[in-house]
Amino acid sequence: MHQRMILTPLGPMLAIEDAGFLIALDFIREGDIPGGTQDETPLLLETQRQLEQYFLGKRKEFTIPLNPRGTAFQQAVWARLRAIPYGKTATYGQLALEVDRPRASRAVGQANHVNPISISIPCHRCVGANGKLVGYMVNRELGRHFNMRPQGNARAFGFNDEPLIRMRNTAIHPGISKLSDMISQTEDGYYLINTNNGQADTTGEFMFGVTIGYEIKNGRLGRAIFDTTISGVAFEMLKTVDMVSDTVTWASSGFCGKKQPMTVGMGGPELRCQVIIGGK
Amino acid sequence: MTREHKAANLALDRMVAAGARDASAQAATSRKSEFSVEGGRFTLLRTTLDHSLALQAIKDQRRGTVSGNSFDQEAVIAAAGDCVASAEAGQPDPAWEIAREGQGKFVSGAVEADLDKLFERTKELLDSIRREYPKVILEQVITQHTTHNTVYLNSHGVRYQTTQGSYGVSVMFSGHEDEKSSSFNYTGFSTASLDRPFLEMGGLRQNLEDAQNQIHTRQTEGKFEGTVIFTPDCLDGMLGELIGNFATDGVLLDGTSLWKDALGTRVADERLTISFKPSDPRIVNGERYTGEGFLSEDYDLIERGVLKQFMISAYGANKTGKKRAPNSSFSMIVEPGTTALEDIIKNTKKGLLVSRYSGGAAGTGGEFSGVAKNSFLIEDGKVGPAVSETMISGNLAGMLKHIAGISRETVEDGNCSLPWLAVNGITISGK
Repeated sequence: MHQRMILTPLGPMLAIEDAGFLIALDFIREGDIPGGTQDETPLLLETQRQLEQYFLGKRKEFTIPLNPRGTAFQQAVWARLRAIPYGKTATYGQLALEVDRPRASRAVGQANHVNPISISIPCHRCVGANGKLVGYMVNRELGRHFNMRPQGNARAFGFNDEPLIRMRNTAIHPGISKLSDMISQTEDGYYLINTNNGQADTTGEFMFGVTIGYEIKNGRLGRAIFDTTISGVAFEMLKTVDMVSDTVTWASSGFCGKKQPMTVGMGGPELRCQVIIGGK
Repeated sequence: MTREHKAANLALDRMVAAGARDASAQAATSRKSEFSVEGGRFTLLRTTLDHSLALQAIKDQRRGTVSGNSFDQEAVIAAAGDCVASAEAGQPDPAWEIAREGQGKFVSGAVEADLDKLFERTKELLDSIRREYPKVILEQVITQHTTHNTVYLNSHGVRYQTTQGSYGVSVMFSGHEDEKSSSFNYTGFSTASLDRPFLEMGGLRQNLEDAQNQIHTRQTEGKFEGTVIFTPDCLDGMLGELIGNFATDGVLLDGTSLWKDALGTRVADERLTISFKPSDPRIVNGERYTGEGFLSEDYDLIERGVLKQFMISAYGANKTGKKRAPNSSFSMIVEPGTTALEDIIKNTKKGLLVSRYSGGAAGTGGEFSGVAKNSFLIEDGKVGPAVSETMISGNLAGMLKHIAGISRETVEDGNCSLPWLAVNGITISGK
């Protein structure tokens, strides 16, 4: 194997070649620049040349032979990533569909996360729905580990608590629909108004307790419903959103529960979406 | 005289001098040493020292409370003044009460920390999990030793001093295989001894094994009525929700409890006995006295299906005319049944084995619905695949009357002792 450290405007990167293929290209920390030789194989020098052109805006595609190491699923995701043109993006959900695993948005994200060949396999072109994925919640420690900018997400509750990465004040931006239209255009559904608790899972599955809600029948509010619970898989539920109201309401009385309590505020408009509703 | 004694004495004297005929002061020092493990590697060892001061003053039937975290003379005097001022600003209520007698000095658990041994046990746990459960990713492991030195004094001469130490372990984990992941799960326990490997304590081993078998799941189709077997880890929360809904101060004071007139009547299957036993040897550092200053004694909440006692304070008892609970109800013991878990499963036609329940708070009527997490389908007496996107719904009160079985096996985690509990008539629904 051969290696070469390449300086880029985003920081130093380490390129590793094995048997004529680039197998790794990743950012390294300033303090971790490896010793040893700066190999000058044709492939590593070409990698450096193409990166320099890329960062000067003179190159949009890479022509270096790659051999990233990973599972068959990861290989499939990385192959699809390479097909996303320069200047374009795709969502995790789209990629999941393209690799014939429509429920595997989270796994696509994970494959992105472990992409061994940065830039050339453009994992940065895979983003959240409509919206773009603009970052992760990291603290200084994890930001350093993943070579990301710290996002100020570590907070501690008590004086003797350690800071944890956790939920912050979180809001969904408003849309253009009127609530009255959202109700009148719903044939059969529920208008859920208030929650008392909620939880999200590693699988993307979430649940929320509902304390106030009404049936919607033929575009009109109907009977009030018992306390109930809604659930779904976040990555799928978000894709079912077809109406977003134009008014944001904030609730600044919540707590994030993760070892220590932590006050959080939440805001958002009404969303029309599909979830599973509990009850007999 | 210890710092705790000095602080409690000073606060009590000040409150009594300010006219609080019923007053209590509790001063506590806790020392906690903690190892944190994230992503399978040690990330933190720290030792923290904390002081807490809890004051209560009842003056002219008006009650005030104050919490603080300093034993400095100035801070204690200020807290005592604030507490009496708070009482003076309150509404009078003759139901407020503190104990009139009680003395005791209690030492229990592992008072001295053996941090070297704790580290060894923690490392052993990590190594064992890596070796025996390779598909499990440990999201967070916390092992700790805590010692509490507490002094409680009240204006009627009640005096308690406790020194309690224990080790605590909490583990959060999930199973992973390629791009697939199980739901996260967590468990924990308290112990006074480091004699046994952590993997053999509480319900940890079973939960880790289950996590590996919950990576690949099957969605439940449609809706049906079936039997749900709650694991001890899950049962703790379900019973907590149930008792909170029907037997505690709040719901009895506002009259919404379905059990408010049920004392002495059958509220559950006769095989069910639920007790709170802080003095049980399976409980690590059980409560010695209540927040109102009464010596803690064991009691049965439900004995052979009959409601024997409410879980209420002296205040709640005075307001409702019912009897005060003999302890603060932290140490739950559910008596085991006579049937092996294996046989309970064999007798289950269709249902779920539920290890974690994630749902909204039940309504006052006891109706609950939530997601069955870390759960397996049971069909024709056999545990089948893990399920996803599956909800269970039922009624908490009704659940106790439709018990299908109570296992003879129990899990003890130092804080409670619980069996597996099977319940018929639960609505199980998928997409």
